[in-house]
Amino acid sequence: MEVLIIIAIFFLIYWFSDLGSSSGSSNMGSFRIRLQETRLGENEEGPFAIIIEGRGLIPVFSRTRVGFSTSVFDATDEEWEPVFSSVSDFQESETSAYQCLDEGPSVDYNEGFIKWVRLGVVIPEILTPPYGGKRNLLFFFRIVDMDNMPVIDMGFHTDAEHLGYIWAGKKEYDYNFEGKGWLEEAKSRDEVRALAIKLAVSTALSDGTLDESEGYVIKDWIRNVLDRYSGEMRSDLKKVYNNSLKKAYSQAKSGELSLSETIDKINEIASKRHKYEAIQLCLDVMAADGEADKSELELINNISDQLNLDLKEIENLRDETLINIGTTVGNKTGAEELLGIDKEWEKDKILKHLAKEFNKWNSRLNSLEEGEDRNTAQKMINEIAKARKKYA
Amino acid sequence: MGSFIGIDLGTTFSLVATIDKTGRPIIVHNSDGINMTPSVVKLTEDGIAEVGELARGGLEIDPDTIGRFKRDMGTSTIYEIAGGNYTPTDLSSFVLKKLRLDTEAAIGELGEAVITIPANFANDARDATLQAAKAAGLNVNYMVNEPTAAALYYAFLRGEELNGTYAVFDLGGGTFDISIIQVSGQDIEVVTSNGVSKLGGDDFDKVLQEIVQSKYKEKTGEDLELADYTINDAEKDKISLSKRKKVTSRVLKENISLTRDEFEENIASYLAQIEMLCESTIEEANITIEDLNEIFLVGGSVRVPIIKQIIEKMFGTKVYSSTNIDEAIALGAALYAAYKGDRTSLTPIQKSAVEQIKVGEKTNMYFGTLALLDDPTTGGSKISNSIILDKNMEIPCSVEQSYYTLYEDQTEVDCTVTESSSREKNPKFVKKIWEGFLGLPSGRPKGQEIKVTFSYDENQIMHCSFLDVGSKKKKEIDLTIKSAEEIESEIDKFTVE
Repeated sequence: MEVLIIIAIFFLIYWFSDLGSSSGSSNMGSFRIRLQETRLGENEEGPFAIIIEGRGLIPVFSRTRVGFSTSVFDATDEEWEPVFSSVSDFQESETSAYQCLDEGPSVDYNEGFIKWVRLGVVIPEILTPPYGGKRNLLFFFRIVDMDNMPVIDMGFHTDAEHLGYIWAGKKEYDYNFEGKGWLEEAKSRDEVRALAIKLAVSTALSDGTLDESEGYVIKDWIRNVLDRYSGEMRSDLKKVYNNSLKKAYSQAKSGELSLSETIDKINEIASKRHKYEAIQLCLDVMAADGEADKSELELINNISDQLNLDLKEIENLRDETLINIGTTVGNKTGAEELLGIDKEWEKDKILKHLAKEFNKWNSRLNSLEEGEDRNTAQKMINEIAKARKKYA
Repeated sequence: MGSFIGIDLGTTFSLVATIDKTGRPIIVHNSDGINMTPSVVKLTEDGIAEVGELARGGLEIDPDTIGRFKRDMGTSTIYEIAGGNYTPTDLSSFVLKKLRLDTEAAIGELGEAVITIPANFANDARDATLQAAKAAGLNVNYMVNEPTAAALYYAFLRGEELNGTYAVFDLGGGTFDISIIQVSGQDIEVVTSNGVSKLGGDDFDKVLQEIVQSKYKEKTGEDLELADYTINDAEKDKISLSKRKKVTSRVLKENISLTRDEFEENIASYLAQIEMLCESTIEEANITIEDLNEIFLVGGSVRVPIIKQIIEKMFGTKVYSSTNIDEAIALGAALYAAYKGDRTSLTPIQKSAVEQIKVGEKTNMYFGTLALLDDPTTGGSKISNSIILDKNMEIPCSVEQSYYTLYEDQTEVDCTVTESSSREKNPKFVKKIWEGFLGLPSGRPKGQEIKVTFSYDENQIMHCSFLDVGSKKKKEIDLTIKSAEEIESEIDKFTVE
């Protein structure tokens, strides 16, 4: 079944009132573009954006339904690299490369825009370039024939004859990106995953033994990752991950596995997405034996904290894992571990956190149907109430 | 035209109130001459229902007798009683019918009735209550939240005296609700409400029952049957423990001693929940305890000494309790019935008594739909709950939000209405109160706008519409009239576009 998609960013193309013919406006000139910086939204309180404005004659020879397409490349280095978008409405239909595509007017020979009009937009906040830091972006703007729509793949033209292209032009723009780019992320991804295996082994061994079910969770995770690769790459990665597993196990057994070193390395090279992936693996390992063990939860809470991840997202991942485990929360596992409470917190902070958690689980209790999930929610409420009694 | 009535359909007891000639709310006695009718039903094999005090005596003794079914309103629970299958709605309708007949016998023809519901009652439960009322032959156009009704009664009782922020602490037989309200004379504005659906005097009775069962086993080595120490026995001992520190209960041939301390120790988990709900509600209302002028107490369970202590500890000396804490909800509901109903039938004195009343309610839940949203943990997107109507919006209200189709040639979209009492993103933790789909014309590019409008009416019922802006095709859902819409959506699936 298809689903609905939300669009959080609204952008309007303002071409409709400024279309005219050359005879009516002799100084229209040939088509050209320029960039304007702005903020989106009615009161310009939205995200920062660069608007592509166009003016001049549109080079068509008969009435044509035109469209405006903007792609973005990273031209900092010799080769142009595609830039990706995190919002699907600003992606190409077949890839996640950035594209802002909008239908324009029906234009006849000798017609064009008599004033500067908005024809495209680039929102830097949703862009992922190949590398982080200051990048030289290239905004590639095309006027296309909507009834003979050309294929644009990763920002590039795909057919040599350029059918359906009416006009193309480019503009450069420098922007400083925080975080890692997609190419950087890809390069560090394999190493981060090997480190994630170490965290998973530490989680499994936090109660002293690596249970068979926990081992199989790690094995299945490695297998799933490897399934995305083939050939030499797959066999190389298999070696890396298996070695990481073996090494982590023997180091942990001999007390030589340094969790802080592993976490420091992850913090140095991993993107947020891969950090969350590592935490999810640890949570899956914890859930493998169908029981949320106190020491495992405590360790995962610690790791999450040190990876500087959004606590709200960690809470969501943990809650979902707990509800999937069912009612078997370990006997020694208290609200502190289940709810991510740091025992060093001030009493008032703990009580506030407990009240907030109570409200959340009480609401869930009302939404869940009778059954295991509801029992788990009730168990969480009981644990919260116990903790309240302890700290009040 | 008949009299306005307000009905407090409670978990353990129900009450009816009306407006007297002077416009004051009064309780209507039942056929036994008492104010409270136990919400207990005894059924025969012919499907004949006996409701009230006589039936109550059979709780946990007679298998054909049942109570506490209000807690299951709006769920798919089916009770097998006396060879028949009954829903919580059926059983509630038996109670409401008994209340209607007794009230008609006492005051004559009835006009519009208002039924009270717990503040955190989900849409399904509200709908089930409305259906039960209709099946009982009552003319119900409005429902009101229990704490709101109680606040209305207290505001009426105190005349123009009230001005500021107040809390209503409502601990009944089955549920605990807390509401924060703004009052100016008889103008009441609900700020926020929260509730725990299974926390009330009934739970305290069960705890006492378990203590006795355990002590009995300790003494005799044998299990105690429920019928040998019923929930009614436990309730009597609980009431005794409110007056004394220690009671002795005679169970079969054994004397079982119960102390108030051990009772309080065993209900500690419930007490913690009460405290936490109060704290989080005060925070949700964006106030501090110091901002509260007074706390109005409602519900029989506030008489339990430890509850009184908790309230005093939390709220200081600002507690206001009238003598009729059991009746405040029904009395407030009668006022609400007169306030909302057709006032042409009221005498001038009655009219002047209710014309000062003004009640502003808020949405009691978050309502949303399922959509594909960005997921920061994977860098991709996943199906999430997208909230459209916020909790605590002034009602009536309506919010419109646009969504867009995902694929080229997308020929349908899922239309889901969700409900939750906290701001949930995870679809697993929200209640899907309606699911269907909207058929779309084929051959269109992705990104077609679907305009979703959620409205919440004065009766706290949801109305939703999903409009395909391009083709003007629309799916409208009125969540009170389920059957026709649901049948339509089921058959829609098989129609050819």
